[in-house]
Amino acid sequence: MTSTTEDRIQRGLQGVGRAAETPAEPHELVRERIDRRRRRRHARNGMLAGVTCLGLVAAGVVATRDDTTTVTSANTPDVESPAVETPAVDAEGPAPSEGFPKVSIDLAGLDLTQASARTEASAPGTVEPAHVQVFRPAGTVWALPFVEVLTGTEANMGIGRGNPAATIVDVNGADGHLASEQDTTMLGWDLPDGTQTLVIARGIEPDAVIDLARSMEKRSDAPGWDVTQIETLGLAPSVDGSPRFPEGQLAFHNLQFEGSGGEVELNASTASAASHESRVVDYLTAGDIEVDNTTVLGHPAVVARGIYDARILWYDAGREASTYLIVTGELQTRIDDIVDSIVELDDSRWADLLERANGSNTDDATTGPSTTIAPPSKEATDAVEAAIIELLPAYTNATELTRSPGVFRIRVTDLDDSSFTLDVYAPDRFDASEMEQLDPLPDTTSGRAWLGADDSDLRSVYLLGDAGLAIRVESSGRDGAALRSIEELTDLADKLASSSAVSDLRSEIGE
Amino acid sequence: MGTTVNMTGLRAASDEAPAAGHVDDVAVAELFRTEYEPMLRLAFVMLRSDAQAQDVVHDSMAKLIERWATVENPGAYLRTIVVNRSRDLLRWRRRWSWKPLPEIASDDADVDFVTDLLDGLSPTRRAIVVLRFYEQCTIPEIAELLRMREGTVKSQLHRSLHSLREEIES
Repeated sequence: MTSTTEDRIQRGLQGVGRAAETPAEPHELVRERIDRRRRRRHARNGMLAGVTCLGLVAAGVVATRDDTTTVTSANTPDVESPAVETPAVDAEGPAPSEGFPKVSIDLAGLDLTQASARTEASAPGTVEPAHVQVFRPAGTVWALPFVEVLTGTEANMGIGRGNPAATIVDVNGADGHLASEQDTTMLGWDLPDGTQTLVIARGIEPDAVIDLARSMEKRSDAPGWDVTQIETLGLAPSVDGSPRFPEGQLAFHNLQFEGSGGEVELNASTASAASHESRVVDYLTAGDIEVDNTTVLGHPAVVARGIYDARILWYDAGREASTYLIVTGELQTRIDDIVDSIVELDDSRWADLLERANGSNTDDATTGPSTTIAPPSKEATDAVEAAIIELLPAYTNATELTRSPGVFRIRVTDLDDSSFTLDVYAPDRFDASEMEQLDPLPDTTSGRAWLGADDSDLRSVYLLGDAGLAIRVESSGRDGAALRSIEELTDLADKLASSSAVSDLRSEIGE
Repeated sequence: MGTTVNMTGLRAASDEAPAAGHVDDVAVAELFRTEYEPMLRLAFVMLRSDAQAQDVVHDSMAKLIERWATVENPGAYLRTIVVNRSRDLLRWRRRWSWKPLPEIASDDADVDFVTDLLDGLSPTRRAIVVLRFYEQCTIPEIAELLRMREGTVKSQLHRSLHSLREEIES
């Protein structure tokens, strides 16, 4: 590469940058964006509600996205942690919420990296109660168009007051703040009793939303509204209730998986149907979201595909369990596989899963926080990466470095057409007697080898070195990647086992 | 730059944000004045779409303003969000709605040269090349910004330049 070529790249990039158009009033556009984010937050955190969603956020179950400096979604809702009181308290006394579904994913090539499960007791909150009504086409589970009517107070809801993009329309004598974006319309107004109502509609013309709002009658003996004209839009009541936490013990599960080119995060928590519906509506009104129906474990479910991630959501009404998965990266191309691989575990398998993820025994599967997997030392990983570079001429990069007790893992991308995952185990995590159940491979110079997975998507080789070193090398064939041969994997495992870098790493991960 | 900013609106809009804390109007205005257009151009170089570049930058600035009180280095924070959101948008575009990026109407041969070269790179390599040669970032800065290891950045950059050289020679 000559400096002339680098100069050309620099000049060319500068030229591309100069072609960007600056909008006339960018600060107004940013302000509108702040408004929109705030409305979403209000609609979600306020209405999901007083006592409910804020508890989930405080509990860290909803606020699970890494929302610090890198990737979050512009068009799927960011979940942020409002600084509010915690409406749920640590559980003491009563037994955990028995029967709460213990859901996981069983998909080849998807590795569990973290897991937590705990319970809390619901407790009264101080935020004013809210009410949620959802209307959608009769006989459907998830469909467009839909209407959501939220009723609450300023403390838990915003109606878009002050939004310059909003127009003021009359709603039976009150100023209605009407704002439309793409095919979503929001209309909010104040009520004489100090509460507010916000109508959120998608797939319905603004004029029809205004007409609907004017036709609504506030119930005198119950929260919410009578929305009789909803039938003229071809919609029927779906949910009508409070998004409060159910009474009693609340369960919170969080599982995180890594796969080739992406991650899956599973969150499950006790929730009311209204709370769950509010979350779904929040996704469906968030912007460029493509929505499909599916079924998960016999429950109607929705797949919402956004620009940055895809989400799978369903509600187990019998057990008041709201579950959603966030799928990122190239794993979004495997949504159907992921849906099919969702399983419910019995207590024993669930305990095993938590132990496997956290590297320690967990007697009570519903207590105890997860163990964060610490990264390995920079020196050790640098040395291993350097060794891999020497062994793989087409090496591109190494990612997803993790270490749990007794295990070190490094995922290696070999150009864009294949990938390896290398695991280095402490001997006590790699039992030769278990390996005997696998197909043996010819002995290598550094130890005994076995063939693990061997199908169209995945192939793995285990090697137990004579020096007490245990490693596993896996090749993924997903997304058209080239699946490496058994011989190649065995050779790579053998060479890695012989390298001083991996030997040194072995001492880092402990006995 | 010349961007006139009415910060009152931004402040009012962000006051109710849960994590807003205290928003320093003067500092936000200064950041807006100094960073808005550079970030817009950076996103445009990555995405080659005015609409998407503006979407990324506006949402990133909104998020920054909401979190103003908790961000130590707003400029770096903003650049990090803009680059990573642009990179994710490229990934999504490639995965879900791939189509050729818009052409740049330019008589500049270097612009044609670089746009052709960038089109052949993956989103991550594209981000690395842009950060290195457009933003003049160092390897450690790129590594931190993209949350990659320095060795990975070096190898990616090396391979990108290698492939670019092959393109040129062919």
